[in-house]
Amino acid sequence: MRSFLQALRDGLLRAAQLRLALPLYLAALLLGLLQAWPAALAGGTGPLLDDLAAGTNDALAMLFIADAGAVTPVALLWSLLTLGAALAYAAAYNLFSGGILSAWAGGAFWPGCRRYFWGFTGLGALLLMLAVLAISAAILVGMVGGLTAATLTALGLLQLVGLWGEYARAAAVASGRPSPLAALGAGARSIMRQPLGVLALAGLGLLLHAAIAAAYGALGGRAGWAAPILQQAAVLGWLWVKLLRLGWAAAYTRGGNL
Amino acid sequence: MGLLADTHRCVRALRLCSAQFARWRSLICAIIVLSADSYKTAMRHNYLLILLSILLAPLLLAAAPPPRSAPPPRAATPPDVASYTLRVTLDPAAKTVRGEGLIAYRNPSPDTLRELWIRLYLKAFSTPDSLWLRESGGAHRGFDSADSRGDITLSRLALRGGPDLLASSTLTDTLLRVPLPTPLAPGALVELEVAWESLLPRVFARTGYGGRDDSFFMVGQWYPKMAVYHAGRWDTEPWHANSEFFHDFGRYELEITAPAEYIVAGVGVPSAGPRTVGAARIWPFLAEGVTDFAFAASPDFVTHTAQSGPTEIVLYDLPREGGAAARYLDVAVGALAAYSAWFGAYPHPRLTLIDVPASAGGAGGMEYPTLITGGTLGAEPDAGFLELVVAHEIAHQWWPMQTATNEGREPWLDEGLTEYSGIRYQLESGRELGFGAISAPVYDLASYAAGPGVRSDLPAWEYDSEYAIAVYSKPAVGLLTLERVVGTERFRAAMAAYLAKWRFRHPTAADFRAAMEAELGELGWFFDDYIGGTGMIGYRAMPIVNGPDGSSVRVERSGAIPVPAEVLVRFASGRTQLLAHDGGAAPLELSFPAADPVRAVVVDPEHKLYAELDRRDNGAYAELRLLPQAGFAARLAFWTQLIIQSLGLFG
Repeated sequence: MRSFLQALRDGLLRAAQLRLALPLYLAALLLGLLQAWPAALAGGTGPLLDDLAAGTNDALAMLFIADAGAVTPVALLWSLLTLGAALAYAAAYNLFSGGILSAWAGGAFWPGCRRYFWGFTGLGALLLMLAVLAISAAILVGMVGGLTAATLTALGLLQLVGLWGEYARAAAVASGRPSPLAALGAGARSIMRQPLGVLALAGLGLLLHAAIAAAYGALGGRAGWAAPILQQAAVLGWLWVKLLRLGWAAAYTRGGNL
Repeated sequence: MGLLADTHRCVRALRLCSAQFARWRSLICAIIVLSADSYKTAMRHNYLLILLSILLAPLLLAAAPPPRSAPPPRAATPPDVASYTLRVTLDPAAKTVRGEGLIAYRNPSPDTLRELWIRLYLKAFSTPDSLWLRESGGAHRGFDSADSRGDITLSRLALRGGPDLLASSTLTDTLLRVPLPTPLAPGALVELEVAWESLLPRVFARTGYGGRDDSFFMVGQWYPKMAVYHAGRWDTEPWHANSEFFHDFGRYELEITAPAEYIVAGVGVPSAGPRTVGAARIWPFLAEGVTDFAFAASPDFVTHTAQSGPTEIVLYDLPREGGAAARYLDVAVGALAAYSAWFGAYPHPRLTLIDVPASAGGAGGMEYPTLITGGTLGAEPDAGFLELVVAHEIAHQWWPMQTATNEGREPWLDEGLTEYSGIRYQLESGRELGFGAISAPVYDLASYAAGPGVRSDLPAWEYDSEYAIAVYSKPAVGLLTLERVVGTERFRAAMAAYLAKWRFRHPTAADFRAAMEAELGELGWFFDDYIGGTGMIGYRAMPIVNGPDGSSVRVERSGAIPVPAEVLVRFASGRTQLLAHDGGAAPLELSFPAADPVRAVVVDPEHKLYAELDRRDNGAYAELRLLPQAGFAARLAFWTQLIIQSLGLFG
């Protein structure tokens, strides 16, 4: 219990260094703005543009209804480019998470980014493979238990794989060994040392994410001109919780104390 | 002893009155009863008795069963044209229903009838050569017949206490022509003794069995049903695959015998509790002022009840993990109240909801008088479509269960009005559909967009794959447009006036049009051009011309339908002016002085013309629209950030 409370406190103190999240936030913002290019085409949508700006899904649906032939290729291209943006953001996360963890461990940010980038990229590839296995397992469960069982299984397993990834990164920086396989092993050992505490903190992180989603869901539709501010606050909040989870991982990992 | 007897009279009077009236009214009733009683019998303790009543009333009223609310007043009483008194037995093992009883038919017309026509719907499933199976290709609403066979065989048809009629009757597909030995005069009654056996198919088209161990039964279109004599002729149109039903109002009194472990739910109300006879139970039902009788049976039903105004709602649920009982009842209570307020009170004391198992999905999404079938994927997320289906089926309790329109000949008159009512309720109650949270009307708009050039006023049998668009989506979207154009209050008043005039009377589309135009004025654009035509609604705002002599604005009607449209003009000073295009072929051309140039012209700024599929050309602007473009850009950036953070932060 004592080490759980210690980890809880240490993680919060680490995450309070919000400036460390700035590079990641700016990377997401830049990619987001690049992906806003369809807005330049939307000038010819007449009164629909006001509905699109207000953000109702009805407006999007009506755009397709108006001219599916013209809108569909744009939508497909946007989706494809967003996937590319996700890969670029993953690379940014692999870069900056090394710096963040190094800074928490008393080292320097940018050297930390450089030192752990390739190791974390390899770790990301391994996590992706584990994610594919998790989804496959969920599909098997779904064949027996139905769609809801499959969905819950997928979400649960993916959360565990993500958690494993966080602890693997923290362990890699704590041990100074950027090797992906070594990091995975060290991460697993960190988790197994305090499984209940780790899961409790992970659950708390999930709750915080859910709270942010719920708050945006409740306020987003009524924000009017303040919508962009609310949106960016939600993005920053989401990122901060991710930072917090990484901070808890760093706190629980041996040698990761402040 | 005298006082004890008098106290007993008080208690009896209060019990009697509390069964008829609510609360304080029942107390006054009791006082009147006792006063009349004391006047007749000259009781010595009159005033003491009244005081005793007042003192006892709170206790008795608390203990009394809830008073049965008076049914809502009806504008008209349904005629008893075709009434049925039947005793039937469900044999789950054999998948049969055997029945016998009496059909009472009263000639509703001014004509003398020399023959009767009876519909035997289950004959459609007795041979692959039936019209229904040939037209449907053996499938219905996505459910396959899989060689499932059904049938109905009459063993007796005779005049009550009189000669046999079966021998002289002729069967063509699902229609039985029955010559009468004696003509039936206008208003006269003929009673037929009937006995038959129905073989139920594995359900794929509304009626049959399925579910756990094939123990779920939804029994519809299962008994010999009188056809309709209307407007000087019998309706002898064969039963087509796309057709639904057309029947007269009447009284149904049924006793349904089923094995003791089965729970039976039926149209109307239980006229008494089920009684056990050996290994079976007999379920009695009574339904008045209805056009059909259907029932469901399952050993797995669990009932849940709710109240919507004076109407009791009973759900026969099939529990499963994450079951939908609360969802069923929530939407049923709300929809019943909404439609009653908009169109006219629901005229029955009870509404029955039947949950349908996934393996018997062909029985789901169906309407009968006072009874609807839903169907859910159980615990599967269905994105709100359960509520949409239930709201739709409940709207059928108005269209056609109170109007009894010919669903085959003019299907849009019930499905279109019902689909409109359902999506309107979804909109009013703030429900959205799909994981993308889209409002219900957009789904019908998208469906309409898939085939906007179809006419909606054709008989069901003249449609093929475009049936749903023509009969459901296009009329629903059109009625939503009409409502927005004339205003919600006026529209609902017109619909209520239509119902009040034509309730229980078999109106046609012409009658609906006359009723609506009597309230709303000429509606040629809706009935002739939209419902009866192939054109679309469309408007276009041409580019604004601003010059030293002033501003010129031009709005053209690009669609074929001459519906009037509002035009908003916004000026540089911020001033706005709301004008109107009359819907004619000529464009609206306007000029404004140079002192205050025009900055924007928007046709239909409040989106009243919901059926206009492409609104992109509804606006002309003499300015850069940076703010909405920036707003849309910010939203696109936000969606991107959400997606890449969800995926990319995984690593």
